[in-house]
Amino acid sequence: MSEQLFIQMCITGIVMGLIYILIALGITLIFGVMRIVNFVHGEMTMLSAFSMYYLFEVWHMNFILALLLSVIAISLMGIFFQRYIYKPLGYDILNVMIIAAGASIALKSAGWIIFGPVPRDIATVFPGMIRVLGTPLSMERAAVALICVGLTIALYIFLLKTKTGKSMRAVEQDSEAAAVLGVSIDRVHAIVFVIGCSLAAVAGALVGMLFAVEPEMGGEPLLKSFMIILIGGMGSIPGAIVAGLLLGLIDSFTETLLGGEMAFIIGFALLMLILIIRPKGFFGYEI
Amino acid sequence: MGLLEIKGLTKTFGGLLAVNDLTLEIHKGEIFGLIGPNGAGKTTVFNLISGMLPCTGGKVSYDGHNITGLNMYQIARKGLVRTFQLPTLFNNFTVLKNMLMGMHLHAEVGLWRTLLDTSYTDSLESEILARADGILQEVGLADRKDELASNLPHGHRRILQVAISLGCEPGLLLLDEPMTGMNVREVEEMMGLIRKLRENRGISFVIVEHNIRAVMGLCGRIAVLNFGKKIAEGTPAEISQNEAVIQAYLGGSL
Amino acid sequence: MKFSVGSFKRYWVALLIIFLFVAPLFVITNPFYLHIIIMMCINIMMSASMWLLATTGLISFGQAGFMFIGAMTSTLLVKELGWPFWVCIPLAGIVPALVSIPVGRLCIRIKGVYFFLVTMAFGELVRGIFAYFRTPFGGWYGIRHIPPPEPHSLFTPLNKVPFYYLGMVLTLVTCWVIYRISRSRIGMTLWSIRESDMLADSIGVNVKKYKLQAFVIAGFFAGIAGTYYAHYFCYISPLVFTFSMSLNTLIYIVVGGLWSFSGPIVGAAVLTLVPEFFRATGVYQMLIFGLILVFTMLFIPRGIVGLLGERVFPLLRQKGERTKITD
Repeated sequence: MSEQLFIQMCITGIVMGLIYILIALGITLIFGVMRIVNFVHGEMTMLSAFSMYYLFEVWHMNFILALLLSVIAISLMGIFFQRYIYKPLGYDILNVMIIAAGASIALKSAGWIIFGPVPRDIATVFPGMIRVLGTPLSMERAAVALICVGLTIALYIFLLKTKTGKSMRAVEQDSEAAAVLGVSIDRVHAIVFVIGCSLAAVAGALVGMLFAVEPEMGGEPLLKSFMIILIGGMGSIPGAIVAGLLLGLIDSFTETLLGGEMAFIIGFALLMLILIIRPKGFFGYEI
Repeated sequence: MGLLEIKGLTKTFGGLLAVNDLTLEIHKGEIFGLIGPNGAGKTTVFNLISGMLPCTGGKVSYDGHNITGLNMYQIARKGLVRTFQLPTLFNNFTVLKNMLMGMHLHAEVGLWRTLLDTSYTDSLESEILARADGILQEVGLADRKDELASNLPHGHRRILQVAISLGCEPGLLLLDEPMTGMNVREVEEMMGLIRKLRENRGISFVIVEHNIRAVMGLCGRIAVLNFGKKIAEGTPAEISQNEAVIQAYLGGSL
Repeated sequence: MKFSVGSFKRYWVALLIIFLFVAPLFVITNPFYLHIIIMMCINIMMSASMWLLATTGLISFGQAGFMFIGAMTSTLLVKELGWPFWVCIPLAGIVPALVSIPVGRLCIRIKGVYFFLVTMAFGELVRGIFAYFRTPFGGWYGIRHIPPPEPHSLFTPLNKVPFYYLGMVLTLVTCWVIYRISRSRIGMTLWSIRESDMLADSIGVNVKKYKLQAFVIAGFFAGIAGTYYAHYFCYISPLVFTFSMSLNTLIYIVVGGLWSFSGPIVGAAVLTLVPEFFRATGVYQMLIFGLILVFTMLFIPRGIVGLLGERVFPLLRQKGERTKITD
């Protein structure tokens, strides 16, 4: 195997890993604070990508503006879900899972009906190539990687330094104690969803840029995010980062070397294996 | 030889030593009390004995059999049954159905028999029903047998917990805070029930309780736990005089 | 005369069954309607078997995988080895049941949401494996020209009536077995595990054994449903036995009502009708189902049967008979 190919696979793996991490962060954040799993995350990614497609690609809106609007739209959707769909169920994890499965399939089907199966493309905002360790890397991928890293760091700082972030961590530890100390639990829940879904929205835009925009696109990143969270541990951010990079690399290597179908099998076999061996993950909370 | 023998029982959670080298012997026909401040490890001891948690060290034997490391259901089969600190019941079942579940050990039927041998299962179930009715009578819940368990007031929930465990025909019952949340009259009733069960059925008891008066009135011997370690053991009179015990309860008099 | 819900229901069910057996001779001759009832049979078999497992509290998203294994078993035995269909039916149940034993042993100790994920992964794994190996499993293209049951002169593609009766028989057997189990001590034990597995454990219930038993039974009947599917449609592929199918089965159960045996039956029957009569297939069907699931979870959590049980039947019920888990 040539050195070039190896580096190529590594880079692809890291870039993919970073995107998965972004999605996984949203899910793990929501889980950490609210102890529920937002299964519609994948569809939110998809809808954001379509929103970017129409706003930026078709109507030629400014990229940043389009991104902002997409993020806001998805965040509103997230709050809607949190308040009117998950909350009435008492945030019971199994019930939330079932209802989210239904919602996600409804959204995906709606996507099919409205947008059709033909994949769309979002023109690149970052043209050009650079060289990393002697291998060519598109500016687009580099930019995506930087955005992911940037957002992850931003999230970290937010959680550690800001008042809202700290109140979120307080609720994550012990919601009753936090309530007694004056933290508005409802507000925290809403903010968690906003952040989590915004991350999904950005991830959707990025995936849409790098790959194609189509109604089915939400499924795979969601699954990969789950694998990340399962390896790294539900509710753990460092875990998600480590596991995300690892998984991105594994994915990249198996895809290139063994082909798509075997990668499919390996992916699910790996998922089963992880769940069987250590459902808690290596850093996280038990459900 | 005691009915229940605990030797060197130890449990660590990560770095935390929850139960520290506990040794106890419970005799047949005893009502034994296990007390101690909150967080002393009493429920953990129950969890260890009953097989809900694996021990880090030590040995437990019941009625001569080594039960260390067995599963909860296996230990229940041998005659050692525990109740839970919270009034855990089958909430969506009626009281009667809860009781019928309690009789599980005597009512279990295999799959093929269930499908094919109706006469056997029918007669077995009616026998079980009769015995379940009997136990409900004994504990005084017969008039509420068609009520949903979730609708029961707290005191009756505790009694139902005990009733369910009677279905296993235990030799030793571990009751985890059976009187918590009860008023004075209910406590008296529970104490009476426990005594009656010892009389009529020869069941021995180990009781974890915070209600010191009840423990003193009910138990023949008491052990006191603090920070997972046994700090005293003896009759109620001895315990109430024990310096270390009084210290552990932060200077309160017993 | 005392009028209890039990006998009321029993007469209606018996009447319904008799009607269904007689109908194709006089009443329902339109092949379209026969096809619908055949689809109902398949869905009922799937949902009833999945329901039994769900009463334990385990929601398996891999049932389509077991269905696929059952379908593949009889397909290969009949097509490649020339075995008679009637010998292969029980095998189509036994093979997935055997597979479900080790799979179940590994998966059952996994809790709640994770169990859903691991069974989903299993279902996809089955698809992936059958898709990867073109021979003998047909790859992504699947296997066509699956022979219908013998005698071929009777089970022709044009005449749905024999398939109808076969379906009725298989469904009745499935429902009988699952009904008997659910009403027995085993069924009560399964429910108790859902209510509180900790309490059940403490009174001597071998929780793992019971969960595994339910899992294997569910796998068995999923396999039977699979073989019926295969020899009726004469075509199977990884595109058929997807996660969507497992999700659909869950939707039948939730919409019909988890709390009693009639729930999954009613749910499967009603929801089979919905897409057929609204001419909604494919994505439109999924959209409707998804919305129905969300709606049901929010507003009719006890399902159709639960709703009827609370509104309609109390009028007929004897006083004082209140149970949450109905017949």
